[in-house]
Amino acid sequence: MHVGATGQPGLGAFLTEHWSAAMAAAVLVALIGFGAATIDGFWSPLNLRSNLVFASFLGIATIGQTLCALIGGLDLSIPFVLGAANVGLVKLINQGVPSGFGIVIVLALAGLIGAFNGAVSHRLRGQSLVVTLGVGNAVLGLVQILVSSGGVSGISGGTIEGKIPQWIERFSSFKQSIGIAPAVILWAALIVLTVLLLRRTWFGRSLYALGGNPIAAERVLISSRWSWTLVFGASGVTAALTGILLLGYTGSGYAGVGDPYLFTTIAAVLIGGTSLVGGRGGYGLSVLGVLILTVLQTILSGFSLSQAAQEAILGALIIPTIALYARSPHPRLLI
Amino acid sequence: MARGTTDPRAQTLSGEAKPGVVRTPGTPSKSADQVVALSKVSKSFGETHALRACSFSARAGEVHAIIGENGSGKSTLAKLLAGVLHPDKGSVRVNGAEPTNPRAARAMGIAVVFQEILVAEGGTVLDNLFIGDDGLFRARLTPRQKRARAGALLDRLVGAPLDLDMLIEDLPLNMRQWIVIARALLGKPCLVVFDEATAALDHSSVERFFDVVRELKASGASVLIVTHRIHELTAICDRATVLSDGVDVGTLAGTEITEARLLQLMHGEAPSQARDRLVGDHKAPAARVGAEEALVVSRLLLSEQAGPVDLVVRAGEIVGLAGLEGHGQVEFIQTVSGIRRPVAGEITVKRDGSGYAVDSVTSADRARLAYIPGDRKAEGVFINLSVFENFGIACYRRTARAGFIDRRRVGRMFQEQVQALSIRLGRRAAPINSLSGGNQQKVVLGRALATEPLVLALNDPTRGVDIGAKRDLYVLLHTLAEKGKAVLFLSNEIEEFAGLCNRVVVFRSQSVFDTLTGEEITADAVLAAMFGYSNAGGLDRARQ
Amino acid sequence: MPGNERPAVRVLAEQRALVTPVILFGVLLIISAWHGPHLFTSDGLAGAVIGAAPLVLATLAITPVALAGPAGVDLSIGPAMTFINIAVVLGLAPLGFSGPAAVFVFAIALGVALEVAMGTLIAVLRVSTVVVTLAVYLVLDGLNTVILPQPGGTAPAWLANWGSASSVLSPILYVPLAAFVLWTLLSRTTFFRNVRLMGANDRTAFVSGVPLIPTRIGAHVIAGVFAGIASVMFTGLIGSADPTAGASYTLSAVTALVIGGASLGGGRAKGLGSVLGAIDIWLISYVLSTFNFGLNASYWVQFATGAVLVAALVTGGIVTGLPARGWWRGRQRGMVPARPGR
Repeated sequence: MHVGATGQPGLGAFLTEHWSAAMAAAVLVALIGFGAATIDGFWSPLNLRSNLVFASFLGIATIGQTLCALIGGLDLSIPFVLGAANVGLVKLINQGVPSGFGIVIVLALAGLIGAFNGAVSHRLRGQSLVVTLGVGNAVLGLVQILVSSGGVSGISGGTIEGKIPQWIERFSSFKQSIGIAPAVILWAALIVLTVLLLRRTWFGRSLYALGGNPIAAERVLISSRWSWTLVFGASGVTAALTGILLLGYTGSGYAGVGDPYLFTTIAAVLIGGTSLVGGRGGYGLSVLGVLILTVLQTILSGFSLSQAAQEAILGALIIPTIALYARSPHPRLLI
Repeated sequence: MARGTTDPRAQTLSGEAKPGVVRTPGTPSKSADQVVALSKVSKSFGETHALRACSFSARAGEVHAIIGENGSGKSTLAKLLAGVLHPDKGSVRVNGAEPTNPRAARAMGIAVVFQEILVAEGGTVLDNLFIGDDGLFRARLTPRQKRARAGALLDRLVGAPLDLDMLIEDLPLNMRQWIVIARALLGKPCLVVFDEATAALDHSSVERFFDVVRELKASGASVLIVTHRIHELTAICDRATVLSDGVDVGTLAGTEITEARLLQLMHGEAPSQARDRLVGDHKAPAARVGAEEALVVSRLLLSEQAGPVDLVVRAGEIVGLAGLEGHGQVEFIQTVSGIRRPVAGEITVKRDGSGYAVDSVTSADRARLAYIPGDRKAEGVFINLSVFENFGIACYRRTARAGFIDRRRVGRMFQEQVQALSIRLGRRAAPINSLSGGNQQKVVLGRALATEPLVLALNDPTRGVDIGAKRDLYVLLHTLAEKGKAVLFLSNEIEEFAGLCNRVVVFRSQSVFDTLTGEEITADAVLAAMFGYSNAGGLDRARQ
Repeated sequence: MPGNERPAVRVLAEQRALVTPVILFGVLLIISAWHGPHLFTSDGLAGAVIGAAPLVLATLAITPVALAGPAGVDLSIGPAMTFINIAVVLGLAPLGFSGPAAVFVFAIALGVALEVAMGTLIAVLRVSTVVVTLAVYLVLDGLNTVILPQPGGTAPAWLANWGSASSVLSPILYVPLAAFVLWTLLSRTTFFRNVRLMGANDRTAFVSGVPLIPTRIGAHVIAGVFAGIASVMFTGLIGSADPTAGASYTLSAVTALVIGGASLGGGRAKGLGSVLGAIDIWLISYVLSTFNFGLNASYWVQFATGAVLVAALVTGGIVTGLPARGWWRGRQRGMVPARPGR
């Protein structure tokens, strides 16, 4: 029987210590119930399949955001790197680069950009929002310039056409003939990897330590500089991966494809219960957050609430969350 | 005093009556001109009890010193008077009213100069002098009036004209201290509290500071000086109150104020608890004959103006570090542990004939020097992690297999330390703050010991720890010393040194002031050294 | 630790704060003179003024919040400007209140309302400015598109043709000038000094009796005034209401602020620096437009702005640094003032 920290046995203790997960799970169940009750075709296989695929896109992008939040930062470059990868891969393919090779290049570059984000943010004492905002914009602008040089196969109006290999398209497709979309399987694999990383590896635990008490972390030889660099690097890679998957889904490149992923990744992290201050939460929680968001978006779309409305609502959610969990002490206590 | 003559203490420099001071012709009664009245004030911060039912009073026109060791509650008292903090119990009154916030305190004529030199970087000298003096929207004085007043005052304080438009951050620390003092005086206060205000001033400035204090007294203000420097005070204070462990233990007046009596009050009449904490019948471990050097500190400069520090610690030795706050012992132990970089000097850990330099946390770890912090909240404990993880976080990487945590092995190490240190805990997975302070400290200690260090540097490990856990720690340190470890033990509780340490190194002004050995180590002797009274030959003993 | 640095470096840093935008200005003017001399015609200058004015005012709008510290980056300015733009064009004008006085008063009032709401949250709850303004960015950005999915509407007549003004000596210059004069007057007030000192060191301000909450909210009031004026200029520039055109102002304004020498930590910012920084950013986009990038022009601007922000942050971080009271105190050189006792 589970005995809680205060000595109480049973379910109550389990719930107290895993409150965030319990809350999130409850909300998810409630939303699914609500959706099933109010929207026709909620349970249709097509709807379920497409929801899972969209969830996997968001889920993969949220890996990076979760890791950044755990150490107390945020990555605002995710939508830009996503769009850059989306558009950049098409360009590479159009130039004759084999698609597999192209993917590797794109992911590697995204990782380097992320590493730069992390290193500079760390240097500037955690100003990750402003740094990633700048880097993200610079990257997307640069990639769009590079992609459109070379005339005919260039970008226009933000979109770029190209011959996307079938295997990439199949990855993100939720057609019946395929069974479970490979994208979802990929997400599932990444979930396992990320959760294992965060729970079972020394590096994963060091992120929690860093987010909880950066000074004490330095004392136990955790290098904050390396942690920030690697975490933001990983965020860049997952953002780019999402961009590539989206390419498979839409069939053509579009620089603005990442725009919704700014607020949705942050919202998924927050709703799941990971604190923006750092040190608390995890990717399992973010998965719940992603699922909640996906169902919520289905419901809201069912009620004809546009993406923009969703952005507004979810943005508003940030404020009560930080009001509850992220307040600073009064200056009188710091004298 | 003859009837009809005005009490000089009740007048300002310009001869007007000071508001709030009742002028009673004839002998002024005590309560009539009492300015400060603290009555049974208690204030706690979590587990720390800064003040416990402390009572204190001060009169107009007197200079009243507040003296005590580190952690006696002096600064909390100053913050209460400033309106920065509110008492948990009891009342704080200045001229009958309670300072509810700094703004109200200012309006009441209270000015406090804190230990930390609080200036607004990026502002000019003039800005910093009048910050808070202005209202929210309108300045109380015109710029010309400000400059005139400021110029005159600074001239007197500093002895030379100062450019009021200079940026405060371009000024050295002692000049900033003067600016903060001037800021307090510009408001024509009726109560001034100086919390260690002379800490940053050089010798020549201190005399000028005393002139300022004398003038304030003459103008009828009540002046409180919180300090460590006893011999400076006997010159100018009328009364002195001693605080110990959050309580007022006595007030001396006039000729009663001698170093001897002050020290006696500070230490002699401390609660009997203090005695119980003594290691008691333990004898200090005799230094092993011919023990090899374990830690060598040579020509270490903690700051530009400090004297060099040399220290050798041998295997099996426990060396205590002591000093008044801000005198360098904390910086020293952190520098030795690789956390801080010194201005110059070298730190070497010696083992099996080779020397391992320490200049970073990583090299300290490689040299097998472990640092144990006392300020758990800031440097030690991860409150978001469980008990087990607070331990394991230091061993995970070392024991990992292909990046994955070796739960079983770390679990064994955890169990070893729990037993060795008698850590009382419930479930391993419980959050760390479910443990008492003492047990939390043991976890922090355990994770350092699990790395099997050769040298241990403990930075005030018994802070906020209960008696039982403290005793356990003393026994542990003896055991470690017998096993041949070298131990640096910094503590603010001077009773701990006797019976525990072979030597005690006392710091003053960022370098070693004196070293006490063996039988010399008594709380009195350590205290005296902290306040600047040396034992001849002590410095030689530090460099063995 | 700032106190231990030699004074020379400090002074140099202080001067360097304004030197960067000035040098950049000079360089960009030279490039413009060579590659895009149209700028120096009456027509071109008018275009420059109306083109840059919204950004100049937007940058001034985020300056008080940066000044009030700590980490006072106001990300909401872009969508906030857009929101007010939509409110004016779609809400105010149809009601018949389309005269200049009504428009300015309304825009400023709305701007102040938004900023005060944010400022109150930040001051009272002591939550992070940058996160709150990010939340507001998202809320307003979404709201703008919900209210007005596609650009539309027409600005009031007197405002609508500002975008095509051909003469510099017209309201397109007078309004920003008046705003700058207002800023100059405000920056000399006691209140402004209180904001600056609080931003530099809030503990010192608190202990000296400066009321922290009213001061911070007041800084946001000033921000709101300039946000409102910026929005009017923006409406004049585009002549209609556009739900997404304003969002990019966030990046540009923050970049302009950093170029202008403001410290993200608080306590240091100059209105002149912000103005110059904004002019520089606009000049960058102008210079890029003279290179005939065609469809790529917006990409070049996006790239340049982002790159300039990062470059400014990196170099600024090295020179002036953020306050030592930050996260990373892993290794410290020499002495640091002792922590206060009890």
